[in-house]
Amino acid sequence: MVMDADAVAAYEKYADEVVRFASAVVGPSSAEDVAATVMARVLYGSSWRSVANLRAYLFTAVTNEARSQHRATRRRWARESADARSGTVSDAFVRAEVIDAVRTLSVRQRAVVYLTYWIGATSDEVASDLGVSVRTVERELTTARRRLEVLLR
Amino acid sequence: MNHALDVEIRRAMGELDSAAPSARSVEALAPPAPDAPRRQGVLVAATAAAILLLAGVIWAKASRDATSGVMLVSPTTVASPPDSTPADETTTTSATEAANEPALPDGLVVWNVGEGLMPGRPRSEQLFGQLDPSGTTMERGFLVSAYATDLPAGAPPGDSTVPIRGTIGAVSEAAGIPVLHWTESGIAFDVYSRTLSAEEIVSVLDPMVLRGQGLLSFDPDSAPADLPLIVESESSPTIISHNTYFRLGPIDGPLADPMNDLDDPRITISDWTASFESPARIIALGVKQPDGSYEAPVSSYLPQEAPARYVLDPGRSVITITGASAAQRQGIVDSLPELMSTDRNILRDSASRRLSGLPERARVALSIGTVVMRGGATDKPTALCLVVDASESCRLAGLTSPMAPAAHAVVDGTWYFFGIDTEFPQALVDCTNDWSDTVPVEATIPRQTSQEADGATVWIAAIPSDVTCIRSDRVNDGLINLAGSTGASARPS
Repeated sequence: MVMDADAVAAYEKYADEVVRFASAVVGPSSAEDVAATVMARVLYGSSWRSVANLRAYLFTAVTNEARSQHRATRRRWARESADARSGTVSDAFVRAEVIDAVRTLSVRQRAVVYLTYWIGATSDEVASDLGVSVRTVERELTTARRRLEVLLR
Repeated sequence: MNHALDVEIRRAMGELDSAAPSARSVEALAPPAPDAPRRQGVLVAATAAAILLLAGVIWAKASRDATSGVMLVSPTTVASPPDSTPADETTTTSATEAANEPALPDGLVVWNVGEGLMPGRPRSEQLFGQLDPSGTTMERGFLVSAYATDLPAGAPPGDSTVPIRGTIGAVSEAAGIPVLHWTESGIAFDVYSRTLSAEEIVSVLDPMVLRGQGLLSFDPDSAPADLPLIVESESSPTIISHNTYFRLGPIDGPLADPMNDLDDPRITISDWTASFESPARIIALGVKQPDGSYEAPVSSYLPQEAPARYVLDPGRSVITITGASAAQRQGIVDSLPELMSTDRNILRDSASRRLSGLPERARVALSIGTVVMRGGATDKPTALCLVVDASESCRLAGLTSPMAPAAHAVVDGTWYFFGIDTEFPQALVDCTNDWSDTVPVEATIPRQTSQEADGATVWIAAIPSDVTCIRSDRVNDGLINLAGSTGASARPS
């Protein structure tokens, strides 16, 4: 099976961004695998060609992948926590308390918090990226923020 | 705006973003597997490999040759891959045992019983409004829930905002209930109402007066006459509440990930009698029953909150159930009276017997007793067991600190802690009468240890008979900093 030129171009355009998004959703150690799995599934197919917003489509696919692997995602964050405490997470520094705090969030909450706080997206933009309502984004952000308040203070 | 928190969250997200690896090259992007089962098989294999690796590391560390004063009783089994199936004969409950245990739903049984202590947190609950003549339904009213915070005045971002009491509040919605949030004078407020709009709540609260003097509540005399105070509670930060934890799982063993994190239901029973003089929030939010009791599944009001909480005995115990489906929760609630009335020692003993049937991985003998490590099979939990005078007591281990599996048990009246330090040395601190945040290492309870060549340490501590509370954390520069540790283990009753 060969990826055509359009798919290759789409991959090169979005791959890094999708991996970083996956890092916030499933943790740095598994981000590459999850992003590759999702992008391969999408770009080796054909339905993505009719998608108006491929970036949002890929973000949603990562979120859905993480949710469909709920148990595996929990395990990944448990490993991230252990790695952070032993100083073996990736090349960059992630504090253990950050890992522990993010573990308490749902997949969707992680996605909303990352897009809001790091990407700087508005609620409308986050809603569009994740295929949910603005009200859902705001509710998830409020809930996530309250949880993080306790753990990150 | 709570700027400090926003900065902290942004920083956290930045750390995750910058820790992300580079995307693999497009040439390395493998086509998807042709069908889902195959993909799942790969995932299972990968997960199993991770478990094998982790189990190998833990057991390897724990089963190296003994140092002086320590005897390795049995040959290590490190090189053997963990069994993929539990030992059936040992995870089957006998008819006699079953007869002594409460009937739990879906074939669930108790796999662990724990007791903990928790210091009180400053918070308050006040219910203002009017009940109908029967006293069972709120006609008009609102609930104010407050807790102490270091955050500056303002509201969380992302919500619709509303001016309130000289600052900005945020309005969100949960299950159709408007919830108003704001921070004022070092107090974070949440106000819930099913009968008043956010605008009405603002108009009522604007002129109301805080009690001050360290209290987190409003002066009831400042409430409008048509919305008087009905019930309130203010917790004392100096009071320690007592909690009991039950870990449930199927009879053939709970599922566990490599960090021994179980997905199966967990029940926490919090005794709030000491910390609240009057019924707590969930009672106020609940529905009063004809017999005078309250039934309050908070999840029906706040579906975004993962735990389901129930009042078993108004004013005394609050039950929190996590990790269970809605059907399981209801079944567990139905079983709670029987579970609560069952002797904890019977439950502990039966759970211990089940865990003692998990495959043995290694054992290390010290003069106090022998630490036996069991489990580690795919998706099965890890247990730590203590053998003293031929009596083996097993507990699920590592549930709170993946890097330092530990457990505790009472054997012949002596309370023991035991475990493995794989990375950081842990210290046991007596909190019977002292909840200080920082404790010098010299003041910790002595442990008998087996120092392994690679840094892993198998240890046992016999707790003095007058100690009823143990906190634990890492040793760092000769100190144990317990500031982030919110709970403690209580001597099993």
